[in-house]
Amino acid sequence: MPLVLDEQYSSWARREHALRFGMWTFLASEILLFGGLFTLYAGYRTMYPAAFEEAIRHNTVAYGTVNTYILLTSSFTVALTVWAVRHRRARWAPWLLLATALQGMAFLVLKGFEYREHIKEGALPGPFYHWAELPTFGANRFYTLYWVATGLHALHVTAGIGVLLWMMVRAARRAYTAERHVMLEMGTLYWHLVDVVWIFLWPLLYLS
Amino acid sequence: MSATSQQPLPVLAPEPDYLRAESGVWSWLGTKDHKRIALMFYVSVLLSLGLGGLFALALRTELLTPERTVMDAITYNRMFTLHGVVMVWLFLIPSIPTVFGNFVLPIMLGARDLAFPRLNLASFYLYVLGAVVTLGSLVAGGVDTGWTFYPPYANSTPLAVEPVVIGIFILGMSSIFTAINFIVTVHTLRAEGMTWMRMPLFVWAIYGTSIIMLLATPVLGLALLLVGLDHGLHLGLFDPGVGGDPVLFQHLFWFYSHPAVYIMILPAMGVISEVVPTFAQRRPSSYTLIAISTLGIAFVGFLTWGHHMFVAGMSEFDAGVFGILSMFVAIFSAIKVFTWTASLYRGSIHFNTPLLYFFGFLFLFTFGGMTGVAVATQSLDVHWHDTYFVVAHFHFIMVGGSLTAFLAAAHYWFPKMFGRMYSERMGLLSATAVFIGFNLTFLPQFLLGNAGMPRRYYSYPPEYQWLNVLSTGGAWLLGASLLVSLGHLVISLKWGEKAGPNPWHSRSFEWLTSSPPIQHNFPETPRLDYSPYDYTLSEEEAAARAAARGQEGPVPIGALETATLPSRTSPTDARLPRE
Amino acid sequence: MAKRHISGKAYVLTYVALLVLATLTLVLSWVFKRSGLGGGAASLAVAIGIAAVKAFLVLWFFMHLAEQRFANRLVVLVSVTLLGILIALTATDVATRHTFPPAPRPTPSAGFYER
Repeated sequence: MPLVLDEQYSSWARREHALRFGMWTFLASEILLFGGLFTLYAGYRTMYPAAFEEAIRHNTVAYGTVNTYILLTSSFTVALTVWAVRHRRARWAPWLLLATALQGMAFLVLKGFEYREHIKEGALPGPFYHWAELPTFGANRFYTLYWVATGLHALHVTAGIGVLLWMMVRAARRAYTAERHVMLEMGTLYWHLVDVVWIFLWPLLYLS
Repeated sequence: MSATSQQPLPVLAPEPDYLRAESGVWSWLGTKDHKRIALMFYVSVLLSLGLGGLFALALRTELLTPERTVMDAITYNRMFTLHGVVMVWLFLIPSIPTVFGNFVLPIMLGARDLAFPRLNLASFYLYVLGAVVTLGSLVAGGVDTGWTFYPPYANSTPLAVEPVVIGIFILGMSSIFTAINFIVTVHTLRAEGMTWMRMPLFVWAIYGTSIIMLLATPVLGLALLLVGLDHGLHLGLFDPGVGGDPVLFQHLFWFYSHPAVYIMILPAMGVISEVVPTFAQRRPSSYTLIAISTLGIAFVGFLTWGHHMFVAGMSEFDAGVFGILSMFVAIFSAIKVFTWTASLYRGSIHFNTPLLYFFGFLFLFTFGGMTGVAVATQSLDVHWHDTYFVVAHFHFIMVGGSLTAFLAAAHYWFPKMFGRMYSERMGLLSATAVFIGFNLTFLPQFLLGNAGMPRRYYSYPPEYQWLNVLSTGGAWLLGASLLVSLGHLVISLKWGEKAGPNPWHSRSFEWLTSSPPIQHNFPETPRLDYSPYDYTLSEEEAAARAAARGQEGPVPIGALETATLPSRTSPTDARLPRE
Repeated sequence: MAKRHISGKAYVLTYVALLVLATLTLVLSWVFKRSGLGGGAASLAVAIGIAAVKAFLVLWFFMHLAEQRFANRLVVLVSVTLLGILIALTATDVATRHTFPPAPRPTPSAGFYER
């Protein structure tokens, strides 16, 4: 479909700036949304340092780490999409987007396996918690936050996969050109944010 | 939007105004015009005000006597919760930004619309959806937690917390969308020649408000969702019975809800900053100070949330820090108050309704603000916390400040929005009545609070009755005078005198276009390279300057389409800049 | 607006740096655990510090802040600052409580009320 400049913008550059800047402001609100959870984490960790440490030690480092590498790589491939479109290799774009979406799915599948383990051992949030190994309030707090934080993150991953697949269809129809691809940039920004959140969740939930 | 041909434009009939440009229900419900969306918000926000006001009157009526008057205790509890929720999230937060911000902000910037018109419409429908869900909880039984949803009670109340919480979450999304739209518009759609320091002060205020909305609302959304989870699944995130900490909820809640006070008052300050120069016919005594203090309030507003929690079990260290930080807000507010007052000095003062509201605002806001400094003092707060003193304090800011400014804006921009004048006599009369009614309602509550009457109580000792009677009488007077205001504005819609483009002889930019504005705001994008408060320019000079565009001025909008339409605009509009 | 686009090489270097930093985090956390300092303040500070560097790399290169206007950077700066304030003032509250138990009172044991 032909791209018509919306009447409120005086130039294409203006429109591009507005859309990109609008996306950043939206991401700022996302940062604060996750920020609330990080605040709770900080508060409860200050309250129950020992229990948190124990609980972290019982989380499977492998799951978190593999997922970290997956998300970092997906960030790379989605950044390459922008590079490809800018350098007149637009035919690569749908494939790169597909690769990114598949990595997102792989992340969710691994997360699912991990959840299954937690359910099996009873490391569940709130009143469902019945893990005999760590029967403390602190560990309960940790796992409640763990489920809420990773759950919210997984929701964002799912939404991100949707965005990626949508962009894949658009890219396959050559909607993004070297001159006009601000919508693609916006979509990739969202995916990167999902990655950035995980960059912080990983050490907080698995390492230290 | 077809490109126009190069021949000289045959257009002498200007575009029709935004109210008449299109007709039909769908031209409203599906509109992307910021002015029409503003009007839809206007109607919904007024409905919310009416509903919240009815709840308030019911509450005050119940408090007429020490024991049961008209309702039982649980109804009373539901009622004050809904009064708070409706007034805060359905009226005060969206009121000035979504109605007047939406309407005049793009015009003030010389833009044709907001940056994201579709997002603007989405924001409206999210507002409606959020309102329906929130009010739907009335059917599901209502909530008795108070608008603050403090756990652990909010976790264990038998009433349906979830719908209200979800409704507020949706309203929060609406707020965020509006905020994104305003921020991006201010950054990207300022007219040629308009630097940051030439923006009208109302734009600064809406900009500051939007920053707060954008960054604080998500934290509230999260906190309330967690309370919903706590209530529904008993996760106990904030339940001390299982090791949770309710004070952490209060941290998250007030990280939004304290800045939310500035979401309510900053736009009000913006309105006042427009009203004062217009009716004093001179520039504000310091543009820079007002603009900077707006950002100052927006920032410092984020650092003071802890003063709501002095007696909630927060550490003394934090209480000290928050107590001191809270005082800084008073500095910025005082800068504004003094600047407005000084702006009147040697002005040519026109005593119209908006200015009368400003005088009311000045007294009420200063009084409310000063009592705010008092309750931010820890030693005093221990005595006043959760008493009617606090209730009176924040009603002075929110009703005395925001609602008064909302009414000032409703009168000030009435001719611009609808092309008609309101009745000045009725305006002055209702403004006086609002002021008297307000003071009669809330001044006694200071005394009640100081005497120790706690807020949210259903019954009270008989000694407190005479003050409560005064307060209830005042509430009825306030309600009646608000109805009168609304009534005379509605009557003026139809029978008011026709207004010219600039009935107040203001130099601010929204008055450059016709009243009501044409669909695209300006026949041609103006060049706004002078101060909106430059009263050394005559009106004609200002208009000529706005019309003197650069060489590569944009193509006139809709020139071909409008050429075939009959002229519907009044002759006064002929003075609009046109080539 | 006419800033140069980030080069393909920069993307690759960023990616490699991210992988190296992630591995470094992993190794350091293992070292901390071995030395008995796991979960302590030092280990946490290091992990968060490295995460901040990684986040910066993603923001600056992958998210193209390097080539974009200052306004976009300002958005991130402001939101991160406010988040920092929220976390800091909340955590100091919990850390400096004296008059009240630092943690909420645990549920009393069975024999508690009989004394």
